[in-house]
Amino acid sequence: MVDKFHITRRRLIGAGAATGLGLLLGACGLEDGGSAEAGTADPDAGWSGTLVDPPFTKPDVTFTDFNGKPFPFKEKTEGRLTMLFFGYTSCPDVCPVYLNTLASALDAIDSGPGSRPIVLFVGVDVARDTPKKMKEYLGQIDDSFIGLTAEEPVIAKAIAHLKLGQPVIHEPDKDGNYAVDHPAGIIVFSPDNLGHRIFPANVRQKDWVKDLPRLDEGIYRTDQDAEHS
Amino acid sequence: MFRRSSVLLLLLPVVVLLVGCGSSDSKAGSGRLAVEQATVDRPVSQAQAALRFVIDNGTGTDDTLESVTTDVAGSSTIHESALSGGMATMKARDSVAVPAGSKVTFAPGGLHVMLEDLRRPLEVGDTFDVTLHFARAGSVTVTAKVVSPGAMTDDQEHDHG
Repeated sequence: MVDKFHITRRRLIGAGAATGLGLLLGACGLEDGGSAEAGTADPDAGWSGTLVDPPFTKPDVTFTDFNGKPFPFKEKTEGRLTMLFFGYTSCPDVCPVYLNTLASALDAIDSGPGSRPIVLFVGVDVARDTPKKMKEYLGQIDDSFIGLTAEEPVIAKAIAHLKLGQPVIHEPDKDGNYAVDHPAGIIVFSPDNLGHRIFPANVRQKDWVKDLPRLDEGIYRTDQDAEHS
Repeated sequence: MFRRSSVLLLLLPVVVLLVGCGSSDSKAGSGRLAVEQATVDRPVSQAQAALRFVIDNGTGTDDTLESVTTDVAGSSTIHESALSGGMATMKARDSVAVPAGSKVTFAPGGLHVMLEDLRRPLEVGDTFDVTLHFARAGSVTVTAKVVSPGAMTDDQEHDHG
């Protein structure tokens, strides 16, 4: 019974993975941003993360927040610096470390631009990432972080829209525990409602401190940075 | 099926960073295998916690970590996290090689022991014994300490403050 459930879920998500990967390879400009070509200005010089050009628009989806309330993504994040991360609460290693890094960066920024982004953690492991568990999990890290859940097709739609890889739910071990592959990137939406930069999940605290205030002020690339300064 | 090379290229520095934990830091002459800096992040969920340590094989003989046991968890499994193709992945490892004269560091984003079914709450400052079972060195028991969840700070080390 349990096995069947997980196999079904794996197939479902696996079907989405092919779609997501196709989109990633077909349309995504991530590869181009990672390295500077000789003789051209590198839009990533002095930045952490990678420029997304053209930028991501926001997925038109409604999640459920960890208080059980609907969270229409576009409306709730309108005009606000917003950070979106897809993970799972049964992840003991990287997720807490990355979220904690971000929390400590926000402490360091303290006030002013970049200090109060909307931080959204979408639990892709819908069987275990219940609103209650997400609240407990995020509450241990930062009270301001918001946990979101949704039915798998809704999550898959959001992930496909953002050209990320779809989650993979692995088979449970003999104790019933299982691992989940999830997108490693954190997308930051600027106040213009566009995602101009995607950050690797293991970004350093000092890099968040450097980049979030600029992003909140509408700056997202080096040449533009120069114009402003 | 799909070409992934360019995506992987972008991620290569990250992957290298994360799997570069088993650096050979030869200190020939200590003559023994030691386990140091055993820590557990205070769990954000009481269901699981990540145990990490440094294995310093100061002997001239290759060894292998085969398993880890502790009373505080119903199960403990060696896992390795990685970033690959834009995805964060985690998989179980049957064993971990500890070459002669090398240090193997379990660090965030790489190797860790996943403790599951915790038998008691773990708070910062708590200590408990963990036993590492090696193919040659046998069992090595050390005291692990519960620390605040880490952060990726400038020195790239786990912030245990």
